[in-house]
Amino acid sequence: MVTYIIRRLLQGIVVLFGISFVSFGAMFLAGDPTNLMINETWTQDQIDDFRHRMGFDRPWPVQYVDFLSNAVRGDFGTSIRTTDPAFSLVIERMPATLQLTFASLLFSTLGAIPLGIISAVKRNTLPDYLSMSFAILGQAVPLFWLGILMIQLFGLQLRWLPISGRGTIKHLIMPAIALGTFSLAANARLIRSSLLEALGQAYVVTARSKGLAERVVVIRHALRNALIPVVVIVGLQLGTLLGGAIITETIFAWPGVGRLTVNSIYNRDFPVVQASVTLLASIFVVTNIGVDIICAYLDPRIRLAVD
Amino acid sequence: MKKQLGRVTVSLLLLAMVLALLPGCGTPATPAPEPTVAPTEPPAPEDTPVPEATPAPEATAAPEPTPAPEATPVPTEEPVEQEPLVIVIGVDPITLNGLQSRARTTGNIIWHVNERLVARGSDMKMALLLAESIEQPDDLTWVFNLHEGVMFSNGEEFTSADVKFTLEQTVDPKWNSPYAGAIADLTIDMDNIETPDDYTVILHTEEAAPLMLEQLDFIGMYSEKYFSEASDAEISQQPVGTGPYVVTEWVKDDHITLELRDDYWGTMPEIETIVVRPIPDAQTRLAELLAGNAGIVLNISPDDTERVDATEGVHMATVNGGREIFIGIRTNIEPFTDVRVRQALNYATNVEAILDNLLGVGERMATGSNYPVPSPVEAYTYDPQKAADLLDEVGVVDSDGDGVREWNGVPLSVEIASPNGRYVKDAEIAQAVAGDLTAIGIPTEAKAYEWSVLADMAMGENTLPALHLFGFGTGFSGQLEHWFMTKDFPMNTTSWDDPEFETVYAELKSTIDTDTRTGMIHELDQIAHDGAPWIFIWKQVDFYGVSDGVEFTPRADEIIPYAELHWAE
Repeated sequence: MVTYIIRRLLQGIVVLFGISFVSFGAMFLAGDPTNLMINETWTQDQIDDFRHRMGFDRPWPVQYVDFLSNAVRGDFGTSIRTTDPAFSLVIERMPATLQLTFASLLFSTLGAIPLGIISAVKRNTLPDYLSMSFAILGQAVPLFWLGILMIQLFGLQLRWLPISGRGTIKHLIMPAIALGTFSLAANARLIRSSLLEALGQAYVVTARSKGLAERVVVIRHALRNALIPVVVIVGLQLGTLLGGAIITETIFAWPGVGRLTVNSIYNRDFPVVQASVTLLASIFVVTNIGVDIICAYLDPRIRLAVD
Repeated sequence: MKKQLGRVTVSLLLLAMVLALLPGCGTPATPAPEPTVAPTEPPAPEDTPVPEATPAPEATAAPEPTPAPEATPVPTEEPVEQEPLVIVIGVDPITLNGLQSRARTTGNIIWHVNERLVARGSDMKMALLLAESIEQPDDLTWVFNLHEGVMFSNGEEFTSADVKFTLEQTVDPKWNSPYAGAIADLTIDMDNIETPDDYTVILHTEEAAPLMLEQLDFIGMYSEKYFSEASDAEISQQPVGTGPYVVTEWVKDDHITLELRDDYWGTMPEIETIVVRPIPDAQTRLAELLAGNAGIVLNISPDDTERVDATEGVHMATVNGGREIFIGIRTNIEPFTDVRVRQALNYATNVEAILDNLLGVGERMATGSNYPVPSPVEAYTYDPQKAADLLDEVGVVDSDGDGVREWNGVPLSVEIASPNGRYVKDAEIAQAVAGDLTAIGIPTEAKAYEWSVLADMAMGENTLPALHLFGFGTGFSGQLEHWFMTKDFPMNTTSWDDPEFETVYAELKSTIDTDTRTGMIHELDQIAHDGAPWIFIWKQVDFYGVSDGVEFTPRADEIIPYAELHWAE
């Protein structure tokens, strides 16, 4: 198990290196990054001075090493537009993004379990068809469209929930549902298939033959094993939800990292873009490693295979 | 089995605990403000009109600006707390340090905190603000006499030293100020800014600077003491100025709260609290307006104007803005080197149809100038036959009858590059123009680019296609707008270099007399129209959704004058 954890951590470090390289290199995709950052009214002297101050006149390997050594210390430089530390700008918005991400994760996980159970237990009946229809619909509806529909219905017509912004729990409901619906649908389908597989196992037959009630068989025997892949998938969905939060934050004016990233791209503020991309990607990598370790912990077959 | 169940349960429980705790962490955000309501106290007396300020007509005479109004006391009645006025904008300001941002979003907030020496009035004419009077003993000397007793919100008195300090900060590379170029263009001798006393500032310029007041309109005044004591982060988030409002809270990407100062030196505005909320999505902005949660909402889509007007309690307010939307023509690429081809493109473009059917409002431009004295130049009219005749004359002809014109025997086709969403219906305008040009035998494809990509194509080595949609603005001097067309403009995307235009423009830059300037500006209008480096589209109309509870008249310069807002009767 220890060997497995060390191996995954080392792999994670390699991936983080890759992220840093991509994050750094993205700035140069369109050529000289100076051209992306300057104002249209600047003279050539001003442009040259800016290029020198930003260090863009140095060889790119030198710039990358410089970037990397600063990045590991949380120093991504200062925002080109504000002179504020880029990393601080990202960090101060991170709680809002994490709050939205985890709220949607909670919604998708807790919503998917009953849907998946009903669908599996009542296989090929009306409840199953309804549950799976809802699941397919949830995966088919674009996030931005769902968000706008919810705003129109619950915010504008019924006036039940605030339309946008962050503040109370009420502000969190619509963004979390909009962001979590896709995951909910996916999880429900996963639980259904996983539970159906478990219900066909010998130990379930044994449990039934012991005369246990069907509810006990399903909840205490089949579901326990069916949830193992769900734990894995839920962990991995964290990254998807972090990415999806960019759209949700835009629609619901949620003050998170996603909006900061998008605005920074529009404003050509690359230090902030680099800081946010690196941080979000790092969270995803760390989560992946954590999920793998949990997975190995839960399923002996994985750690035994590694050992 | 039990052991495994325990592990699963523990994992899910841990997850649930994290989820439960998270809503409580992070910066406590203030709930979104309540809907804008009608006033609960009588409106303040109407502002005294600020007299017009124009550059000195004669070299030795004092300029026309007349004193700004004296402070008007607020009626002393029993105070009743007002609801805040919510203004919804598209994007959060990047910074509240006005030295670092040219964006109107920033200006719309900080200029109510950091007042300027002079400021454009609602009539788009320059007026005095912190400057009580301006004298110009000669073409190269500007004397600004400041109001006495004006206090910054940190308790410091505003003096001439602060003016000198502000101008020096504007050109300080530390701030990377977008206004550094503008100040440099005024040729102010930065080593010789005189402050003979606390209330007098004397600027010397190397050349006559008729745009002095126009450029100073962008420069808020900053406290030297505050800048010396505060960190850069404080400067960018907690501005200190002489204006009627102070920023009391800024939750980034959520809201900015401005409160009225009770010790403001000038005429007290009526609105006590203003909450500015950035909402990037147009449909969400619209929903906040229709739900009655906002007093003023910027950038309503033209498609939604009917819906707004049909909703009780809100209405649309539009204004012809100062931003010129055009399709630049690269005049160094054949056959667009020939002026007749460029004119043909203008005649072939049915701008009226675009304005009527696509945009719903607006008027056709003759040129890019916003000069207040109307230009006698007439806009191109839609005349595809004339366009065809001009193209035939040049030799851009359809010789084989396949409906496609050839140039030097090669079928001609072009691309229009445009941003997508930066300007009102920019990509759609490009598509409409592409259709018009295709109809006269020049197959045209409209391609929308992400803005940074398009900007990169324009910067440095110009790699834009022959036709490209841009929008420049917002100047109202007649000079700034024509600067965009000069050969030396840093973002000259068309490579247009008309000797006559350059000569007149050079003379205009150093001409003070208003009448002479007007003649020159109109002459430049005519040259630009005839030279046709652009397909002239329109002056972008700005669309505002407004609550019936608020009196607001939009301005062409995209400024929302908080001090001129009132609660409706």
